Amino acid sequence: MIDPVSLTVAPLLLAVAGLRAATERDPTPYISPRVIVDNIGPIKAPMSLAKWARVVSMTELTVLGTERPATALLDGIAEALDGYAKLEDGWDGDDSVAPTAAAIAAAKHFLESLPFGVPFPEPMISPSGEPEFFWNLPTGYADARFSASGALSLFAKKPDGTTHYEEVGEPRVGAAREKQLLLTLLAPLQAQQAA
Amino acid sequence: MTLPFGKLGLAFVQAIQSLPSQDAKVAWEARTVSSHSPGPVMDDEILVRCCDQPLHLNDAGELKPTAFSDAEVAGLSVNREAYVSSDAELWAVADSRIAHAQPRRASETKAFRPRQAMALVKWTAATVRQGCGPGGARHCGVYDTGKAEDVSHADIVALQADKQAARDARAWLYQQAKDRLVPRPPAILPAQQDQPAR
Repeated sequence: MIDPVSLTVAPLLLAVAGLRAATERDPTPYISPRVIVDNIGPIKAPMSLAKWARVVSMTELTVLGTERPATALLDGIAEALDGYAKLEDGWDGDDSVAPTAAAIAAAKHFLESLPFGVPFPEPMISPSGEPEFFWNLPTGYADARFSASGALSLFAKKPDGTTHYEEVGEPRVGAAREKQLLLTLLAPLQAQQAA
Repeated sequence: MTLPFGKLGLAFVQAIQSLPSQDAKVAWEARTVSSHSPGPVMDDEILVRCCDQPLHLNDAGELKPTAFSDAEVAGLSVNREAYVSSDAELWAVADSRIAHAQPRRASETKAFRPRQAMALVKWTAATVRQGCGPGGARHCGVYDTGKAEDVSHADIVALQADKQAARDARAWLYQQAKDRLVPRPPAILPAQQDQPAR
């Protein structure tokens, strides 16, 4: 036989446990955009945080928490460029050529001088031996190409289909005539703050 | 009637791009370009691009725009699905082409995985032909550049020679292709080559 006290207390204990389970915070860590922005500051070093801030603002949450540290990402891109430097003529068919040292050096300089807030690009190399970077973002598409002499050409395409192309004297976004357009496309948060 | 140059590739692309008007460039799509061709490429034909260069895919197996750079300068080689018996034949053609190239290009394996037919992209010719830049200029043309050893061969060519339009054409091809990648089924992978990954 069950005593009346147990009959009263047991359901209460079960209800409290159920309520606790239902209201407990999801153990998955989340990052407050506000905290990230506060932590970024005006320095360049925490580029990964800048990227996270942009990503959060664009609600692309899938990469949060799985992103490698910024230095590892940067090293990975630089490693890819070093790998391209080892290619020889014919690496992608009879007419393909190896990149020049000047083209690789320009690509590295461009990578190191990316403005604050711009997401890391993906490296690639064309059969004509030109190392390139590209971004394919909800805010548009852009690519940067480095010729055999190290000259930079930038191409950008907005979601509405309008395009921009320019050849830049120095291998960095900051030297582009339409720098603001590129920043608007690649780092909308930063461009808004700068405006 | 064929175009007045024997060598395909770079010369062919330059000849097409140097034609004075878009109408003239597009008109060649309706003519037979190669004596080995079974005929001009119709809009409803399916074109197949074989991706065989690991450097044109990222670590996640996704395409990079440079997979389509050939359209700018030398013509992007594709096969016309109607003139191959199956995907297995396409893989076999690609494997044969790569096996032929590898011995002469052994040095390419120093730092990277060797070329290997890894994935296919399929579009209709109409899809490739419908892309236009600002002002309505067509991005690409599709020409029936059949070869003696591969009559199904065709080329996608960026029609505009200027750099901005050519980059736009490549970006457009990439956008059209990036979600159409069909990985090679493991069952028909060629024999593993003794080369470490990158």
